Amino acid sequence: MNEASALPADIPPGFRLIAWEGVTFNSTNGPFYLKHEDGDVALGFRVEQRHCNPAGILHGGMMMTLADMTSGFGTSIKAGIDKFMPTVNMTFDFVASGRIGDWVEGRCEVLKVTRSLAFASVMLTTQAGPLLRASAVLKIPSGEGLRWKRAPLIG
Amino acid sequence: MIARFDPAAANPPPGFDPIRHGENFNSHAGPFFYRATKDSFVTGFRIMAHHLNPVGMIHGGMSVVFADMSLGLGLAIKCDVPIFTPTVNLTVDFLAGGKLGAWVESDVKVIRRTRSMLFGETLLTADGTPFLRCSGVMKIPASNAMHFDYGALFPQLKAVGYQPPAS
Repeated sequence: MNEASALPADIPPGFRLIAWEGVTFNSTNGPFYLKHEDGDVALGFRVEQRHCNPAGILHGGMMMTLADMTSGFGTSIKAGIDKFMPTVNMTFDFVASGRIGDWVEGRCEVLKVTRSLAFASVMLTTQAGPLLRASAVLKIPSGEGLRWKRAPLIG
Repeated sequence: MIARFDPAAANPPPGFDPIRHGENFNSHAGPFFYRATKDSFVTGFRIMAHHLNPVGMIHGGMSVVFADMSLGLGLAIKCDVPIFTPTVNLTVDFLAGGKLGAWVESDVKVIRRTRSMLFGETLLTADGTPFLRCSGVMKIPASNAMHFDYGALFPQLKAVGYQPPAS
């Protein structure tokens, strides 16, 4: 069995599972996938019932979680910043609703990086089009910042 | 799989009861709590291990999950709109990092209610210190809205004779 076959069949090509260790917010609410190839950086997940709100559609909190992670991963990879960057501000517009079975994908555009701040735009989409628009301001720590370990990728 | 976390393990302050939200995203993002008096409605949760990010602080996603839930619920209760009100916009400032074990609380302020929209804001505190500032806009659906029985979901409201200020 090769590594790739460990992923569910409905995960789009190029995406790899982000395998966080322990019981944290990411491991409890995922699984989340990362694509990083040919200059394209994207995060994604498949909507399950467990990601939905009492109305049975994708929970806004789950969308905002992916948007927050997309701003962090996207800015870190695209701007080459290997520090943990805490979020300072985020603004979200809920453009559409997501349904069980949808593949949600997040992409990030880095607008500006200063000595201490990074500004990014995030868009989440499904096969039906735009789902959530977000903007983010991230803090770049002056020293090493908080210690952390990048999660391994599987698939 | 939906992970469930024991509300008692969160050790809420006196007067806070668990919010019964059924089997959904809130089950593993929570447990969430509420406390009502005659003229107040406050929500809260304890920061636990399953709310943390890779650096051991509260995950930004978790902070906005609670901000969104508390704002939507607080506006619905305070404006006496017992239906599902989807979030249209949310803006959050992350004022401080939240530490494991801290008790987070939200007391929503109603800014304006129109026929089709709810505008509100809330300042979340962690162990009494400002933690996250949030403002948001919720849509009141015209029809086919999902209705909630707040009397059954939040027994404290009836028990304390809660009166919505903005109705």
